[in-house]
Amino acid sequence: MSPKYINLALMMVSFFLIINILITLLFNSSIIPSQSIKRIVNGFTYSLDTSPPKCIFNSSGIVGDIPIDRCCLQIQSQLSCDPINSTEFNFKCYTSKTSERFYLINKKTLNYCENVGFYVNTE
Amino acid sequence: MSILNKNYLTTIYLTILLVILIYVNLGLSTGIQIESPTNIKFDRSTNTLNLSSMTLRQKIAQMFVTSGKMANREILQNMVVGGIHLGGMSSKQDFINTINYFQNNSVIPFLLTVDMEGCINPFENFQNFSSLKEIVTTQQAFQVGSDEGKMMKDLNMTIDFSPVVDLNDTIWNCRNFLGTPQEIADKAVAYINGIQSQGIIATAKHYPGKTLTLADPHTSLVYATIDENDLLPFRDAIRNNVSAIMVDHVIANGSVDSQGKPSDASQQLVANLRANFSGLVVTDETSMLGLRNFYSNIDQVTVEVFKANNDLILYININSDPNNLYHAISVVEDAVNRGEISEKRIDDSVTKILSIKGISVVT
Repeated sequence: MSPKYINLALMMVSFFLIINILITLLFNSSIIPSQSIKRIVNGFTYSLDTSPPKCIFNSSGIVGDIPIDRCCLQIQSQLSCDPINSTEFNFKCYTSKTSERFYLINKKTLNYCENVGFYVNTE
Repeated sequence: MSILNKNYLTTIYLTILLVILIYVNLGLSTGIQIESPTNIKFDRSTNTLNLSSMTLRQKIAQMFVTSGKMANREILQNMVVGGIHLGGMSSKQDFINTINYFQNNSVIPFLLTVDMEGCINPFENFQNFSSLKEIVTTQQAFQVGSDEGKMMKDLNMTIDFSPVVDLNDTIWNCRNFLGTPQEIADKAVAYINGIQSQGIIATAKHYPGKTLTLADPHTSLVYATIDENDLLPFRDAIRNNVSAIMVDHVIANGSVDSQGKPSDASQQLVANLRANFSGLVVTDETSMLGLRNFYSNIDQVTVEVFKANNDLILYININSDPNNLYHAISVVEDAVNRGEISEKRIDDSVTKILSIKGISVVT
């Protein structure tokens, strides 16, 4: 094979590796790279979603709005966040399925929390 | 011939460049490698640790409590992070498995923390407890505290970031005790005594009070005028030997003054608290948006809460990226090396934390 073609191939591979390094340095400072990819996707989804973030806490029927960053901290400590059918909210987060105390959040809140690094168990 | 030589020379250069790029890419894809530390002289048979055998980074790491996500175990163990915070789980066995998973092979055992949150119970899937709001008498408060403490003791946990002793909760409406300031203080003391009767550390929070009432619900810190009533439950808790106090981000004036700073970043406020309290001073979660928005960046937040002389720094929000914590430790290390924070101040807090873990410190 001609050295010209070998050099061209080497240049192309080098170019892609440089691009990969730049992307990694710009968007991914993570020890666990797959988590950062998830964060980029969440960030993109979050920026596309123009609805306001919503988070409420239902305490045996008494409902209160929760500040979003405190909400993120709280829902991270829940056992699970399950999808629900509601026009206003998309997930119910709880420490027990039968609990009278639980959080209701919309998708915007979920994406925000995940985007800023909180873990939310929606599995 | 010379063109051919030139091409071969280019091929050699490009190959070298390629090898370097592959090496860098592999390094990035595997992330920061933190080896299991071998320098720490910790005699498990006598539970004695030589503090001077720890690096500054390791001592700073001991002052952080972060989230206990199982995938991060090895990194947290190797960084020698001080504590892990656990949220809701399905069963008692899940807690036991998670705790064993973290503690096994840890160089220094983690502090294991949980937050009963007054009305949000991480054990709720298998064990119910009364919320603070439902507690009517001091006897009941002691019993609830004791029952919760027993559960935590059974699970080998160390710290409960409870109770809330704020006089009002207009956000959750269930996280605090109800009654007059004195009744709230009495119930809080009884509950704390109940928890601590089981060998678990109770945390009176959120100092100096008025933290569960709203100013801006989203991005700003709360400004509050603190009066003597707000401080009463904390003073009674201190008089009755509460082991820990959590300081919040509220910007306080009145009976205590945080001088325009968030309370947990205020050297004066924490110093005044420490004048009457020798226990563990804990920050509230430092990644909260309001706190980050108050300062120019999260690095400044981290340095300020260390400078303010807190013992234990909550940095729960690292699930997705333990590199954030690695970075935070580096930022504090730099501040110590610049002389902004004294190493002795770090040593004092680490000694306190290790003593809570039942470890005797020698230097």
